[in-house]
Amino acid sequence: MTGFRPTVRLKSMAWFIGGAVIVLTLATSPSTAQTATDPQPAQPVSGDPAALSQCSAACRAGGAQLDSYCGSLPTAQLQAMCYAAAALGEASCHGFCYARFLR
Amino acid sequence: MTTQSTLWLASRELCNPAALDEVYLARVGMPQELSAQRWRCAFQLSGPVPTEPEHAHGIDAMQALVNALAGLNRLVKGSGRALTWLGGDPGDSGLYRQVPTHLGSQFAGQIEALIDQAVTQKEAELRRLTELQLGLQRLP
Repeated sequence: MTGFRPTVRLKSMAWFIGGAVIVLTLATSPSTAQTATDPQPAQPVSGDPAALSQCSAACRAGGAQLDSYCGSLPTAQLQAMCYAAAALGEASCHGFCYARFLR
Repeated sequence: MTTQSTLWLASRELCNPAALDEVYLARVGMPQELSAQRWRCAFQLSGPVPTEPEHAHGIDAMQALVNALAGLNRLVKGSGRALTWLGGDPGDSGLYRQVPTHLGSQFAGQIEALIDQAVTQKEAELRRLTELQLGLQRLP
């Protein structure tokens, strides 16, 4: 019986060390389950959340209000992207807003 | 813009396989210049229930027309019916989604590359199958 004790101790130590490594890995990893279920809010690139809100409001309104919003954008490229999004519907329109204002 | 004043550029009749007496008309109008870099183009899907035309916009006539076709595709897909063109497969209206441009040219390029890749793969697969079939036919 006494001959088994060192083996048992070694196995226990191995389990303890393995568990400690897993715990440390989870604690220091940036991609843990906690961050996956609790995402950080997106950071606005433009520094102007009101502009994002204005874009989203235009998407929700649709029709002439959205067309007017698209036409008011500062460059022809942005206007073109906005018009393209408007033709595809509200979901795509919001996608355009996020693409423009969020990282 | 009313239906009466719209100059329609192209139209297509679509049928509903679930109700063969239902005929739908999908059509796009002639792009109209509203002001500098501001165009609009009418599009409409009309059926048993009358509808008003919608308008797509663009910074030039071409974009307004392309956006109108995208809008028409949205209406056809959103109709909840398998609208079908010229007796094709149910749901084949011949109007398909275009490469989206509203998320930027880089993303549009990625989507285009994926389409090209899938088309090349499919064509290669069909060629292999055809060659295989011809090879089997040549067997004694």
